[in-house]
Amino acid sequence: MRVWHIFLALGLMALSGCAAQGTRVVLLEDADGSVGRIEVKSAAGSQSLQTARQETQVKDPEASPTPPRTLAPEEITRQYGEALAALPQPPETFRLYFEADTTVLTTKSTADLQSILSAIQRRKSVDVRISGHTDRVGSEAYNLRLSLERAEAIRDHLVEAGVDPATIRLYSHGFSLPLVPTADQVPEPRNRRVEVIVR
Amino acid sequence: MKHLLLAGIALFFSAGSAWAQPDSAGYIKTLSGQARVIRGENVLPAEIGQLLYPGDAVRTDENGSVGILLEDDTLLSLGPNSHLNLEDYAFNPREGLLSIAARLIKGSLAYVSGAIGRLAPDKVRVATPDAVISSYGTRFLVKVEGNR
Repeated sequence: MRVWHIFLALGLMALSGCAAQGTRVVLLEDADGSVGRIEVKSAAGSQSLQTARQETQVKDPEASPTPPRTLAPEEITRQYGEALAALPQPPETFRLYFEADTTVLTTKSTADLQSILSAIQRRKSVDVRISGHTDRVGSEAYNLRLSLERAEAIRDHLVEAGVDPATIRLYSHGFSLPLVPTADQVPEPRNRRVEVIVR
Repeated sequence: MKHLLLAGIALFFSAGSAWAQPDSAGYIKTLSGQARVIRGENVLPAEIGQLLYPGDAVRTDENGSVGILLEDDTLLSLGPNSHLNLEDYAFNPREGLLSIAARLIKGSLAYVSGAIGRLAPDKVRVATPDAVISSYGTRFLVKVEGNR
């Protein structure tokens, strides 16, 4: 009986020794090609990764992270292909611009509405966020109302084209979040906008 | 007309405040195979569009994978046989409340930084049974192997 226990214990130790165990971390390059930095810490030490496809391993909480080694792209696909394939597409942001003091889109922005509809369809989005903005001509209260009306105008366009209104959220910011900061009462076409985020 | 407008503004603000403090952290955006969301005592089959809250765990089966879109546009995805705890999440830049704490218990995770990673990289914490990963606005992969 005792001997059995010892064999069992030895067997389990051998198994756990053979089986892969611990944590691996791999740094990837960003969508724009730049490379950030991560820091991997255990109780025993830390390791920073700053080059694309570098990996460090931590066998257990008492072990130091190993010095970085670079993985081949095929190795990354083999180990992480399914997780990478499941990554959602990042949300897409569109900016639409308006004629001064109106909810009327500029000609160019009218054409951009179609890209928004395409993105909603392509992404099967049920989460569209519309934020209205104005420039600094007029009072704060007036602009808060105008920015809401701009957001509503875009919502109405999308709903008319078949987008489910329940998937749309409206926000209005007046002139509080300018793209281009200006002094009070200065007209600035780039701030007369609606931002549509298709998530 | 004026009354309608005022009603619209009132509606917007009442709804707006609810959205300004969303209690959900995000939702499931991609799904293949089988996966579950564990919320306290409840085990729910994962579905596309399903909201996730701080404290939820997500587990994938051997053929499952899941992609998650968080409120700050952070992207997370799990490969098969994975278990992730979303321990904490807050995204309220106006009040300076920014936090992501996730723990990968087993399996594989892909992480793509969002606004919290840009605004407050020190508030992003991804942990495993062996290590803690601090990210400075980037993307990375994590794998946890072995029986724990």
